[in-house]
Amino acid sequence: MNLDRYSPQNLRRPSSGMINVHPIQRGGILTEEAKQVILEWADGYSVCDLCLEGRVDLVKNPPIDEFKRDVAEFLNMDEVRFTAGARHAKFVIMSAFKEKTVVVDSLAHYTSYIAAELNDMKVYEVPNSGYPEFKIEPEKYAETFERVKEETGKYPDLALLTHVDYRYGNLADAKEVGKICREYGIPLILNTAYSSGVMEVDGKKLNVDFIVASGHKSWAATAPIGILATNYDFVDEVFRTSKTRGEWSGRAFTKKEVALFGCSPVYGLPIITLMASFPAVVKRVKKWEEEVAKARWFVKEMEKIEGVQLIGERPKNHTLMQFESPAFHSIAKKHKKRGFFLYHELKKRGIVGVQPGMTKNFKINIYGLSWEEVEKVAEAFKDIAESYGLEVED
Amino acid sequence: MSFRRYFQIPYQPVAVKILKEHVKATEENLRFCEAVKRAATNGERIVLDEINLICSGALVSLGFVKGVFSEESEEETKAVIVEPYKGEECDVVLIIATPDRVMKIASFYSQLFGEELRAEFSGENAVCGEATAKVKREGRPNISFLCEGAREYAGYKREEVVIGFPYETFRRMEEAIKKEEIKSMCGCLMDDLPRDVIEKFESMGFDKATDHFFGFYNGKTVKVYIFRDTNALGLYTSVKFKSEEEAEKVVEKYKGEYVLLKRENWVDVSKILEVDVISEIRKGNFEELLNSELERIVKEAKKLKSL
Repeated sequence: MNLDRYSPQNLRRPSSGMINVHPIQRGGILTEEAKQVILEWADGYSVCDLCLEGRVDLVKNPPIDEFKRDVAEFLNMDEVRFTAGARHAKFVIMSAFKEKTVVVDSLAHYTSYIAAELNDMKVYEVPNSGYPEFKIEPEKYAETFERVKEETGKYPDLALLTHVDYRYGNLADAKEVGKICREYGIPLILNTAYSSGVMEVDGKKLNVDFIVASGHKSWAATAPIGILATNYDFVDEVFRTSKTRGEWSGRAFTKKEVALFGCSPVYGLPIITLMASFPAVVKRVKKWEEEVAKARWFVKEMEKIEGVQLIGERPKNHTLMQFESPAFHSIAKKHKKRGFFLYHELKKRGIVGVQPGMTKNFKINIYGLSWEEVEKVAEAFKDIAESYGLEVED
Repeated sequence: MSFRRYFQIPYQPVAVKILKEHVKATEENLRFCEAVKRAATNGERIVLDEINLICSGALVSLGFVKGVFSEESEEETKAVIVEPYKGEECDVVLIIATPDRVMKIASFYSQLFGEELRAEFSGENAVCGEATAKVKREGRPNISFLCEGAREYAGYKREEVVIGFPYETFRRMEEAIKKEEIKSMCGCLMDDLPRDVIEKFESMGFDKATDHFFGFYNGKTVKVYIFRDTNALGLYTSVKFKSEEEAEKVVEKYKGEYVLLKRENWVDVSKILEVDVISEIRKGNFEELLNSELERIVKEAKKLKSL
């Protein structure tokens, strides 16, 4: 065993000091406020020093109980719990719909499927529009509900929509899907892993019954932390408390919420950084339009490179984007580093985050970069393209 | 990381050296397959010679004696050393594994060497012949499903088989494991397109992106999308204009048979062919059909600039 590999000087982050455009990283970068508190709260169960009620969401100091209410207000929902990621939140909701039927959009994250599988649910998919936009059209939800009825004799029990999908960064029309779900009386989960925390999300306006969010993806928090927000209609089922009783000891755990493992595992830095970043998050969502403007500008610049084209919806409504780049891929086929050449060339220019080995198509997220940084990233791509003989428009 | 750990195999790999000089044999009578199992299980080093090797099939296949009806062996072997593989040079490395592990090994092997791992077996002279002597002679790995003797006397379980690797092949695989040359991706499958369909597109110079195929035709990027429900074929290419207005005018003026869609300053040119791509590919005349359609769509797209 070489224990030296774990020494602090060997545990350096490879992306330190670089612009990180990895799709999952941008919204999780800690705010200055979060950075100020991390050392003080870095110990394992740090927020549990004064736990009087046996559940992390009820802790008064630090003010997690109040924070829970503030997050609910921010999302315009009734009740909130913190979870071990958006995936855990989905699992918690679906555990109240065990062995029932759920309809999910066909761009959903794999954890939506896994959460359903863990709860023995039958999954039906809402088709997407295919190449080149891969959009989820709201009316397809109604069609899928009807298809489920035809096949099973009844409408599905639950629906899920991925607000912004991780593959193309398309922003789905949640309001319209919410309306359709209301008409059918089917509760809707909105997965906002890439939206709430960077853009405004109002659960009531969107007609959704559940919002799941990712603290580490979009709320400037340390992983793993997610948010589950719902309305009072569902709190009894979703946040049901333990009914078990020790058959010999007679022990019982009546305040522990079963699907949250009794007390949700978010005890130290995850909840503290989520909380410390919250004021900045509340402010930053108001600046979303500028982020979208940067994304649209960036697309235009990237498409000046021969053979680079955005896929997914146009114009962009989100900062996560996918480009296809047959020209870069042709270079990769002849390059000694193969598909890794693009990654290495970007790294040389101080940019990380494009998946190593990807040249056919690659994803980028520019959320939170300054205009100068966005320009630097665009220039780096153009410079690489020119250095390999690709045409770049002026 | 070692081969054993990488593939999570309970037994140790076994090195087999076939020698033309005498070495003092282990004082115990054994079958070859039994010695292999013991080396793999207990880490024993066992030396076999003509006297203590008690399986007549193994005596022939390993070259101790010449077979009556066979001309395969040369009757030159004087000793065989069977011991846990520690990286030293040997003739053959044997792996006892279950089919699920063989599946993973085969996938790794084919990615590394670009060829399939084969299984040529007859159920006779198996560990000694099929997995050892044949592998040494042909310089290629082989999977053996064992023989009656191995199953009956040597303690192999019902679900166990043996793969023999030439030393160099095995060494190269270990090196690839250490250097992480074969990357295992996330394991998520993004579609269930049949392998032969993907291979057909690849053979025509297309690359598979997450949801579609793309390639070049007459210098222009073209994309192909197979619709999920019908297997119909969507053909796409795009033309970029200086402004949205210019793109809009082109779409307005266009009177041809293709579907034009303006998306900002781009115009997507597309056509959906109501054919079942999968059955067309399997009928064998797909390439001709696709090429003629690509030629037409690219020609049409090039015309748009002059509209």
